[in-house]
Amino acid sequence: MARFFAKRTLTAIIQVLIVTTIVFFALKMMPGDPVLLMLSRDGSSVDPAAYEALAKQLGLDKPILRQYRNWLTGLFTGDLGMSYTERRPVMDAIGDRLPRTLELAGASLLIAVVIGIPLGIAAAVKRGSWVDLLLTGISSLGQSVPVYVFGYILVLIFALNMRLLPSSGYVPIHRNPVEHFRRLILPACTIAFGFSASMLRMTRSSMLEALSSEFVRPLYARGLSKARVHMKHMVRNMLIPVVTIIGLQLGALIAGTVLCEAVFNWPGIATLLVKAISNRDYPLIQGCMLILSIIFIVTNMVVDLLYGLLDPRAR
Amino acid sequence: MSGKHLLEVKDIRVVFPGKKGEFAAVDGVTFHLDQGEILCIVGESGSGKTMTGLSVLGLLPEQARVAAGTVRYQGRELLGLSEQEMYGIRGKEISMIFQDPMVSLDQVFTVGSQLVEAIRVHTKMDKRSAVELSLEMLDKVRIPNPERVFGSYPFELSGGMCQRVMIAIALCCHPKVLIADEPTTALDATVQAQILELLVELRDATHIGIILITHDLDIVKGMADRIIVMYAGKMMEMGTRQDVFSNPLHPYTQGLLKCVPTLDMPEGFRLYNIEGIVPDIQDMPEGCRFCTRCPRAEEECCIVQPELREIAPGHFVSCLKVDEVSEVKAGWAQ
Repeated sequence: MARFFAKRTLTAIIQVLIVTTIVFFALKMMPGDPVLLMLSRDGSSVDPAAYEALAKQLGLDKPILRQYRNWLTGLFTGDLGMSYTERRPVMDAIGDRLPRTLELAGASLLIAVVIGIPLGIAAAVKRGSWVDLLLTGISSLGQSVPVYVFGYILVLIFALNMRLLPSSGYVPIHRNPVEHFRRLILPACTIAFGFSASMLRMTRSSMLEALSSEFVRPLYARGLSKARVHMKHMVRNMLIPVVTIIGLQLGALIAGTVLCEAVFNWPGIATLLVKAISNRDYPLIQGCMLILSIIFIVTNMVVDLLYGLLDPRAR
Repeated sequence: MSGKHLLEVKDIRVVFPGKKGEFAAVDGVTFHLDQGEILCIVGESGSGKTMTGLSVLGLLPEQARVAAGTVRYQGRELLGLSEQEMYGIRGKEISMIFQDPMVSLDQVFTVGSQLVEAIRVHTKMDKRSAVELSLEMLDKVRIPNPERVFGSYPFELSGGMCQRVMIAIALCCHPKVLIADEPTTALDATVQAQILELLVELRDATHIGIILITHDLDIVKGMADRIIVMYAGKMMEMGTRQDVFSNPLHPYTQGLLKCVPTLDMPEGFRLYNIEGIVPDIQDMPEGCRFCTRCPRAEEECCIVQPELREIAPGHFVSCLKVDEVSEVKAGWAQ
């Protein structure tokens, strides 16, 4: 297990390095000049001397490979540089925003698991019944409606019509926990809708596969009850593929938060990244991408380890 | 048949929904089983022998149902019992083992946990004693190093070992009947012999009644006390091993026995085969189901359904021509 873990960690580090390298060079190929953007904010023409000075200050006058080397050196000393627009260390900006995104993604995942897996089991056990038809019908809807459509529908119903919840915004938890969670509900449910729909479908098909396996009849032949066969043996067998797919879907979940943060004005890392891209804030983009790819790769690693725990054959 | 048998199955009829309404995969199967007896049900695939076994335990596939008949266990009718009541019968009174042991165990639980589970759903035993009993059972089915196997996962064991584990699970609550559905078909020949030997040994030790479902006449010859020959869902013949092997009356049984190669066959001997193929189960002849392939069939065979008749004490045959056939047979013997 330790050996497996060490090997996985090493590949993970290499993966992160590759991702950030690609992002670095892709950014440089992107049209748009951060120096110009910063200097011409008020629409005035740019003084060449000021341009030179700022470019030199940001280190953008150096050759591209040198810039890359500088960034890498910073990375290994724990310094991700200064954000051009935020005017503070990239680390600090990310440190502020990341927990909020993780909170949103975590809450969505929790809701999706709590809703999707039990309903998926129910649909599989009652296959062909109206329960199954209804659930799979709703889940195809959930999978096809985009986050920004469903998000606004929720706002329309729960915020504007029923006036139950605030339509958007963010309140730090230490200032007002109740308001904090009231503002979390709608965005989390928005992402969870689509996510639980795909989880329902995965659970259903995986459960059906378990139910049709050869060892089901022998389990009954031992005198085990239906509840026991389903809830212990079938669920355990069903969870193996489901956990793997959940892990793979976490990437999509993080992508989903980008749109959701925009709809609900939730100040997470995704909105920070979008803003950084439009400002060509290279260090901030790099930093955000680095953190997001680390999250993505680490979750996949955790899933691999979980898989080993769930499936004795994979150990 | 008196009411004192351990298990009595009467006129059982298992139907499936088909293209032209329901069709019977098992029709009119009647037999009994006593303590310590090995009853072999022999037939080709699709003859309904497995469905017969499953109907006893109420484990038929979802689409199938028992349309008629009775299954009495120690005088108690099992058909019509609720699922809840069947939980108490399966594994506790009547157990079953299956064709492919490698896929008959849940792969993600250890052998031990599956044994302990089977014991504890039927008894109020605490976990410690259940573990002890499990190890004892593994030892009883001649598994070397029970402690190691107890903690193993099924995929870590060989097919023969898995079947031993299946037997241990089946017998851990001391059932009185064991239904063994082709228990050695998926195993190597040497392992096959060991498993069958084990079954006989366990029968001798516990006087359990065994229904052995197989298509292998050699197994039948070596183990059976009594034999049922099935064809296309119907019983063709039933009798003691002596009856069936030394005095087969039904043309199908006779044909079947001629199909088995023996070591003393002369060189270049062409093995007998029964002409034709089994008719479509959904489109059976009106009369005897074997009439399309029977060398002795006459017109009335294809119209009139033969009944299972007791020709000699304990020897049942379902053939209109049976007296004639037995005369012919007697003629051969001279």
